[in-house]
Amino acid sequence: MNKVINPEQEHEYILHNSRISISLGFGLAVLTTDQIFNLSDKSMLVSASFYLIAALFVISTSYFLIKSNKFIKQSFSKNAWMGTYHDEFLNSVSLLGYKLSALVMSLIALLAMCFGDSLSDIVSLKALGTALVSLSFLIYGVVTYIKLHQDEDEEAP
Amino acid sequence: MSYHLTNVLALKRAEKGLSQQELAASIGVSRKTISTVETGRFTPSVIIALSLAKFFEVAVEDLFELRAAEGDSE
Repeated sequence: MNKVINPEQEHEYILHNSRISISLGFGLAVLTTDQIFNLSDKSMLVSASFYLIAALFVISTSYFLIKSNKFIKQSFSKNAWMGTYHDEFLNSVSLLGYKLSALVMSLIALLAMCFGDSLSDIVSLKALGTALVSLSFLIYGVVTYIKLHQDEDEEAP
Repeated sequence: MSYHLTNVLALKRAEKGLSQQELAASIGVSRKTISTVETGRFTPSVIIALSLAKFFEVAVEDLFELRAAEGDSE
């Protein structure tokens, strides 16, 4: 069955996705920092700050995920869940996000391949994996968010 | 030789007294699509170009023009 897709709903959905990505990306970046520097085992002030920042990102990500329920209720197109949008501009923005994210991930994987032996003394495989996932979410989120807000001040009469 | 696409979409839209949102709803795209096409940030597909031409009842060439990029010789 073909669903009638409202482009404005898609716009809201991709914007929502970018916010989730940014929030999740920052949250995982905090986790990576902890995995590398063991912040939660440091002094009271450092570990309290770490837990506070981590809690903020858990709350914001949960908030955005709860709000996703609205899109689930709209029986959104299966394509949108796969990152393919009916609207051409939104689709191009999403693809750009994926492309840049994949490019940066590939570069980091290449660096890990070249300097993996010396890196393993500093960064664990788990921390490197978390950092990669964090970066991919952050890049997708930031790129889509910027592209979607680029023309905001050129609102139509 | 490289080209860039110019358009008179904003002008045609203003002539009809439509907002970007109204035009977008008429042809079934997002307001961002109209906004970015007007500013030249996004090159629309043939489908959108034809939809716009049909909406304004003009030829596609009356809305869009392909120009040689500055600095390029003929």
